[in-house]
Amino acid sequence: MPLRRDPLPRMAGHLAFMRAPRVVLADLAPGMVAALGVARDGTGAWAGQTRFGPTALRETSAYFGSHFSANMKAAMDIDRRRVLQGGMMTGRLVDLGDLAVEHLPATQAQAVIREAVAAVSGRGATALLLGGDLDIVPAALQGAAAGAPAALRAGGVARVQLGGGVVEGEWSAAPGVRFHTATAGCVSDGVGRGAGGDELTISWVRQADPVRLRERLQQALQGWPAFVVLDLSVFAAHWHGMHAAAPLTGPGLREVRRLMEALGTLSIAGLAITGLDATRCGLSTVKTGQRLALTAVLDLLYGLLGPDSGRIDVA
Amino acid sequence: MDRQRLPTFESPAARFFGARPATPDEIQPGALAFLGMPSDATHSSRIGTRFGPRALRHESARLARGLRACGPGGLIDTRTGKHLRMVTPECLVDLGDAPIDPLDVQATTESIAALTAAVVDRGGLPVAVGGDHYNGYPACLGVSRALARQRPGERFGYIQVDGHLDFGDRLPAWGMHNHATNARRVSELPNIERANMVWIGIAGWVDGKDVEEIEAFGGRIFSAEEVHRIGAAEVARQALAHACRGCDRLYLSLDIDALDSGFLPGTGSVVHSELAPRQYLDLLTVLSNGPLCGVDLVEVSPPLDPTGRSERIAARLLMEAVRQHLFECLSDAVDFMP
Repeated sequence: MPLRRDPLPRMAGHLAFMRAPRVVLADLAPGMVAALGVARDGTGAWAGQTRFGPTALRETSAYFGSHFSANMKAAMDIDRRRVLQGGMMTGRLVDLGDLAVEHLPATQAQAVIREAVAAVSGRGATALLLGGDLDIVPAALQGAAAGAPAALRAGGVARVQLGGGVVEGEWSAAPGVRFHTATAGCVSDGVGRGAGGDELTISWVRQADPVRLRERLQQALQGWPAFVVLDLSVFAAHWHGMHAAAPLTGPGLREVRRLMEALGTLSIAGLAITGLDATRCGLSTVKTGQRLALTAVLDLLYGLLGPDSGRIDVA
Repeated sequence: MDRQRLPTFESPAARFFGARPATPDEIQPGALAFLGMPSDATHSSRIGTRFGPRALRHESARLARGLRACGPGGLIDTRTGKHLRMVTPECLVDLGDAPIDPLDVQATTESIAALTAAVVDRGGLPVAVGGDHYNGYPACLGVSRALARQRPGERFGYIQVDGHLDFGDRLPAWGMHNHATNARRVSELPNIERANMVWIGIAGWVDGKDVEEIEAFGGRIFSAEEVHRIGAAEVARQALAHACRGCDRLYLSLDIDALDSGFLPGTGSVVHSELAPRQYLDLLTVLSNGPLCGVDLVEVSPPLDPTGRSERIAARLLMEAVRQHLFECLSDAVDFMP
């Protein structure tokens, strides 16, 4: 007999990404999105204590889990008047737990990340890495390239990076297109396969209609499935204060959401959230970094998990 | 000793905008009557708003002291160009805090409602300062009861500036009376005109069924995105027109979490609306012209913002919301630029 009839308050119960069920690798099936934590700091002095990121992201994500609970009858994005399908998350978003990489030497940690992402991708699921810092990305990208069916068909994955600096070394070994925020906005500079890549400025993203934005991204990706990296530094520092090297200028949530929403309609090989230093005060005591990153990621995640159920017209 | 040279003393307890302390019996018609609602037992996550009234008394008193220091010549509102003079503290009263029982929502509800009803009964304008947003409901309940006595059969409109709809029916563990249900409870009042209910600044993911229901009964929602797109002043004008259709009374409920947390982090339920204080002020400059019968300002949580800027911004917003009562206008447009 259940202990209670009502759904739990959001801060109760076991900690899992968006209150998704905990599973093991063998449970994964095609079409699933599998969250996995990579609690690891980088080696750079600027990296901060990103190893606390997975816990912070899961804690905040519990709030959004209400989108699929009995508390919320139909989750609606009020800006776009878009309603989610009630059951689209059920059985499709799962949580694998954290990879045990915190105390491993860098090369061993990279190998573990690579193998784990390859195992997830090899089962037809999409890995959602909860970082950690940008150092986890090259191995994750390689894992997705080695395991994801779409990547195997295309011959690799394209890297779409929002925010964060350049990670050299293994970065250049991975094919792809990179977007990063600069003072002027998002720039793709054609690293790896993306020679002659496209360039998206913040003002362009702000003004482009969704169809045009999607076309530009498709053009930049050249048919490759995308591994999307959302580094918290994509947002200007005054929106969160929780990244060790956040820029003073840059986009806000509105522009990033537009990009993520467009990406959610494309072929996605994996996703990583990086750069959150959960030990920082943020804005006073309010931890806005994890909330910002997750709000942005929802647009891509919901795109991956299912189409919109329709629109409710404005009265 | 020359009595003129004696130092003056102020009350050790700050009062809203330096208002004089009073009991409900002392309220004169036309008075602006502040009261505190230091309760956050009905908030479901980050609390601390029970310290909101104290912080806002301090900040608003400091603000008023600075404005009164301008002297009898008045002051220029650089946002509007108006030449203003602040009213004397005698026109403002501070009733103190409503008695709060954190373990008894009903008792808290009734004590707040009794105070706002007493203010309206005596012809004053109640300005209730929270506290979490649930307290906006009892504040409005008191206004509703008093208006029903004074003007049987008449109805009033409602505008809520907020990052959230607060239109849920219940929350697990908190039941039907909490910071996410206050607007629905207001919509159930017998003399509210539900079709005249307006929400401004709603951001992010909300319950689509609530939106459907609100729009089905004729309510209006302006999202944060619409404030960006249409402009704050125009949104406020449209909201005012909608809320005052066939009503000559308007209740204004102000949740400071409509502001993006990048500007105002000291609140329990942050949103990323990118709404800036300037836009909130633009909204209030217009809304303050409405036929107000009650105002609440809620969700200021000083412990969540040790910098103090959240209560400073909130005090400024509160001043704008009741500017018609705090200032007399000496002239409309002054060219204050050299």
